[in-house]
Amino acid sequence: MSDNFRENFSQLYDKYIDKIYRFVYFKVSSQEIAEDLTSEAFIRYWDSVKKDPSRIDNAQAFLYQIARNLVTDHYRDKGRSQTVSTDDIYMADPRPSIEEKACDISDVEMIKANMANIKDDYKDVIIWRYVEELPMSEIAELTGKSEGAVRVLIHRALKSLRNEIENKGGFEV
Amino acid sequence: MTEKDLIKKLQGMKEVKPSKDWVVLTKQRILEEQQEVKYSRFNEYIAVFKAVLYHKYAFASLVAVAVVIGTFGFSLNSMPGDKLFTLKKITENSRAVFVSEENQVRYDLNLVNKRLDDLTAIAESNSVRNLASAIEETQSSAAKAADSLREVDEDIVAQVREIEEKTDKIKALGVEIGDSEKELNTALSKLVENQIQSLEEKSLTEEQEDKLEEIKADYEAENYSSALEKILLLSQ
Repeated sequence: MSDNFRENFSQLYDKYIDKIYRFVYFKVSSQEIAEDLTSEAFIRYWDSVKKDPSRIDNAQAFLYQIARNLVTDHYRDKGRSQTVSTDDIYMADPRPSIEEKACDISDVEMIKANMANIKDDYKDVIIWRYVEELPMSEIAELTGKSEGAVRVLIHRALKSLRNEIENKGGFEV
Repeated sequence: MTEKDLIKKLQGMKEVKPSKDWVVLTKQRILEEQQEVKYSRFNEYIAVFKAVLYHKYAFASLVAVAVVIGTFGFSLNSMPGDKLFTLKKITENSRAVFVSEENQVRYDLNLVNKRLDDLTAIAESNSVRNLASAIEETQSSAAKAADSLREVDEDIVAQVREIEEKTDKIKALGVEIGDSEKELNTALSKLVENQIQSLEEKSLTEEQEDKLEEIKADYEAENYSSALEKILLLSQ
């Protein structure tokens, strides 16, 4: 593998590591699992590029696709439900990372717990639109839907998350 | 909580990040692992090379055996006068050891036929260098076959007929095989003569007597394969 390839991978890793980690983190029950799946996503990306560089037109979309498959495999292999309660999060992930301290930990936990109870499609578009603040066109590309369909999907996703939060008592303001 | 509040909270989630240590270490690990894969392939080649060196005596023996087998195999296509023909003869002589006494004459006549094939090929390709050796080898095999020629059966008659045809073909190519033909003819002549004597001692029908006369005529004309064929028919 050439130094040029390593350099390109290094740049891509720096660019997307936080995004992919967050994407996985909001779908699994612990920081360790998020770390394992995120690193696996980048290893698979490396292997795919090495085998056939031409198949990857959009690195971001490809990485999200790998991450999404890894999360699905994780729950399927372990026979676990994707429903994660707030208690599970406390149990599984008692020590937030240094970066997490920059935001309100209770908000993160609450969002995570409620996200666990909404549809996968909804989780994806909420993360992409509001956490990563991707433009509609990119989300349309990631989902394979039209921008109009994505708008509808985001609207429903947000409504679903709000309902979950309100049913559980909402945020402390 | 309003939608606006929720969106604001979600935007705050951007602060969720993996630890910097983990990010750095993971990147380093992936790059190192891929480097190891690259090196491990190189190491596999080195390991094979080392294994060859470590077992050099065993490999040397195997290579020597392979060379010997290959050389003997290759020698089977050689012609009299070629360097590898000696190996071909060793192979043929080794086979002859395992031939039973009753099959010896068939084996020897078969060798005469093979030498005549060699001689024909050499004559046709005008390979002067091999010609003398080919004639010598034909003479030698014919002498050996003549020594073991004691009886008559269908196989022997067929082989003798083949030898006569090939001899005629070689003569037509302008090659004189000399003593080879003479040795074999003498042996065939003696064989036919013995068979005629044996038939003369038996009481024959009129028809058989006529056949015996034909055999004698073939014998006089040195047409031994024809004579032997008729002897065979008469004996059955």
